[in-house]
Amino acid sequence: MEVKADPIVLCGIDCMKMCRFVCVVANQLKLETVTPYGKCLLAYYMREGCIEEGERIGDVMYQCATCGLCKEWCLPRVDVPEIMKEVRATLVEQGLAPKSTVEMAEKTVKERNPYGEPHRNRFSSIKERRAGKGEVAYFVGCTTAYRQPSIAESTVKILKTAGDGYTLVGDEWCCGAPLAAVGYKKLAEEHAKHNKEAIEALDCSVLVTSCAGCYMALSKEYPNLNASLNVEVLHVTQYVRRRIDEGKIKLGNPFGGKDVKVTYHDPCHLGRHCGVYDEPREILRSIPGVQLVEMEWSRANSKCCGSGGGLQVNFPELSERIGRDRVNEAIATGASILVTACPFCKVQFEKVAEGEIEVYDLIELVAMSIK
Amino acid sequence: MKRNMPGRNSFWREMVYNELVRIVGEGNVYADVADIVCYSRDVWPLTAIWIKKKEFLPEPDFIVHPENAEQVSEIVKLANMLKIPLIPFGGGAGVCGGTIPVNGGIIIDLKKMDKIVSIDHKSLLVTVQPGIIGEVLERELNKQGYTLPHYPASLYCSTIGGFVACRSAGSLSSKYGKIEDMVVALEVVLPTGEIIRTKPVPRSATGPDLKQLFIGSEGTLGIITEVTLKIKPLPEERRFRAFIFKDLHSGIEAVIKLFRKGLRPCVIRLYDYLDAQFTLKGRAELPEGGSYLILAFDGMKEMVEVEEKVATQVCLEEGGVEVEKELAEHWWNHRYDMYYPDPFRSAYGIIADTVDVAAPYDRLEKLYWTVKEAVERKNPGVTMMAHFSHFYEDGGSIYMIFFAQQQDPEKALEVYSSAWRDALDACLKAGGSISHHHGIGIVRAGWMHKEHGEAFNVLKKIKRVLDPNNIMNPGKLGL
Repeated sequence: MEVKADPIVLCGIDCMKMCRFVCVVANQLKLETVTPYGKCLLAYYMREGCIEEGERIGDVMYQCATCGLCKEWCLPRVDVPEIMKEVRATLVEQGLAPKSTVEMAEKTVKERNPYGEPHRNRFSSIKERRAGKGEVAYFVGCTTAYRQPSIAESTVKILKTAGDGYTLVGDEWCCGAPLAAVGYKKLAEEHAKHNKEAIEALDCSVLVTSCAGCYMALSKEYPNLNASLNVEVLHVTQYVRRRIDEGKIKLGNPFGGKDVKVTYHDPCHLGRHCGVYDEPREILRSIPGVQLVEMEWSRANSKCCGSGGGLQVNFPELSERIGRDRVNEAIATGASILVTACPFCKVQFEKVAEGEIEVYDLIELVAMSIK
Repeated sequence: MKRNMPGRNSFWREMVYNELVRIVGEGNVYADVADIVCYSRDVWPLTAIWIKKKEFLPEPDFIVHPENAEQVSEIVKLANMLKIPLIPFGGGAGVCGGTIPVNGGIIIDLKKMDKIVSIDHKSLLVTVQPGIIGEVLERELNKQGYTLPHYPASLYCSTIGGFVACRSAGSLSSKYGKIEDMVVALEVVLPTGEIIRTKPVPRSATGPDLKQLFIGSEGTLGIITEVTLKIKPLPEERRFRAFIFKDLHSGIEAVIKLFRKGLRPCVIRLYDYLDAQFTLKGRAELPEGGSYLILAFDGMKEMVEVEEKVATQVCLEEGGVEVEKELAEHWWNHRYDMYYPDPFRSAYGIIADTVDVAAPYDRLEKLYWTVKEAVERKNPGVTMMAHFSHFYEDGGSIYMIFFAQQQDPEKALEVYSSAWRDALDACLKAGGSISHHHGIGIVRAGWMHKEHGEAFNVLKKIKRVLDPNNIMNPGKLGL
């Protein structure tokens, strides 16, 4: 059933709260206010001018990981993450966005990354910024560049192994997804426009990124930000899957010949938001020694790591509790390795797992497996 | 827009807030308007009309999140001392206004009390805190090979405490009963703060069954803080059959004969002509005025086979025409769909509600026709359709749905109130009970005296003794 009625009314007034039991935030806070229902009820009152926005409403509207699991359990497919983006844009205009969000936006404007790290250091961990003719452009992304350089190194190794020449996107800025998620749509447009120009100046036919968030932005959000790209955008798992099929990447056992149980976490931005579920699993199954076991909540039902939608920035303690629940689910499978395909998820899992389960990005595991 | 802020002064607010913080800690007390408006309603359809009319609903002063029975007891003692209304709150998924804080006060949200306390594998009992969501409990039980065979349409969004407080029913009630048949023991905080426990024994002859006093009490007699329930091993098999009958009468007769044969299908649902049309959507041929019966059988494979065979024979003997069992399976796989926002909701300009009534077989069909005729005749533009959703040896319940197109909130309110009044008056006239499983809340409160007659005074006297200051969920159950 497609939504023909007002989605805010459907969710905030007419719904019995059917998605509440899957909402990672509601499950932590146990409050009606933070359920998708509560947020939409408040959004309705805001829209109708019946309620005065204040700091608490600002906080509530940012207590959403925009993971989209609620939509999977919504028969009329109400898109609460999209509603939240709109509401947050209003809150930003009114100066009611949480302080951490404002600071994040300011850092992004200044240094072109949400961490406020020096822009000049963006690629400092990558030794070769270009190889061969540079047929493939590699969009590194802020979290990989500044927090997970081994994912960048692994991606570069794979691009070289596959025999593709590659080039980085010279003046790469934040993809804009974090800005759009927290209500800074104009800034997101500005970043998308800049990246579009930088990417299209490279004259490449394929753009690969190792970040699930960047992939969602470049492939799905850029058209809505007036920045459709004229190149094919691939997440690195899609790229690797192709090159394995073509016989250009050959994988061996990365565990010293042993069999190891591995579970895979679907990043929300790659899975639910972009529909990429199979390629990561197919790659894992093609690595000798990997015994893939699924978590109770996987694929479209995957529970969020808790980092997305500005949750980590604004409510780190809540975000980490959500991440720890996901780690517990991974441990319950009996796996000794938790694999994801997003640097943001990996940062979160490494932090909350406290060594109880090994955490890898899939691309690191692939790089370790290359014969 | 009017906001119904209770007339408390700031000194009073600060004093109560500080006391609540002392009991449950600062992070567990909420008093901001954002939280207050979200706790001002359950999902009673009338509240949707009020919101569209830009009326704020009655607001609580505070929302608190206790984490154990001792904290609940402390909150109750405070409220009793200061004579502040207390409203227990689970999933807020009730449809009768049962959690609306009509006089303000403190909402006690029990969802932080959501642990599975223990599973007794020998006696097949589970003990849980009241705030656990039904689906969460069911999934945990399934992992261990068990089920609480209680699948109300609100399973995803309501709590065990809510089920017990409102006497809920699930789709498998014909075989496993309603929640009151599954509860073995309760822990309850009384309105004066004492914590009492009933003994978890299968049967006893030690006077009246006190736990039953609190089951269905809708938060008016105390706060349920722990529940022990019967569980079952997951069934080996669950099979479905579906039949079309020439009319409602033949369908009901077939069901009566099923029970007389000693059969216990876990699902028995009989749809009237209009509801059958909505449910089947043209996937089976339905004669004018016909009815549609869904049966399911579960348990050991051999027993399921026998039940299925005999039930099919009975239905055919009663003139039923068997249709594809996949239709019944489809219903099962989509059994919660009706609880999602569907075209019968305010977003589509429709005012609708469900009137769940019950009667023994001798007047069950008459109950259906009396209510339908009264609502449709007295309220032009209103249509009523129904399915008989729960059947037992001695009778059943009818889930009667009325709906009308009405965009204007003022007129919608008139139609809504009138349809309810006519439905409940007609139900009592036909000898039915005004609720089978949704409960009373506010919407049926005015009919409680007619429902129970003089016996209602017994309940009122019990209320006065247990809750002398009338703090527990005032305005509900007609108390």
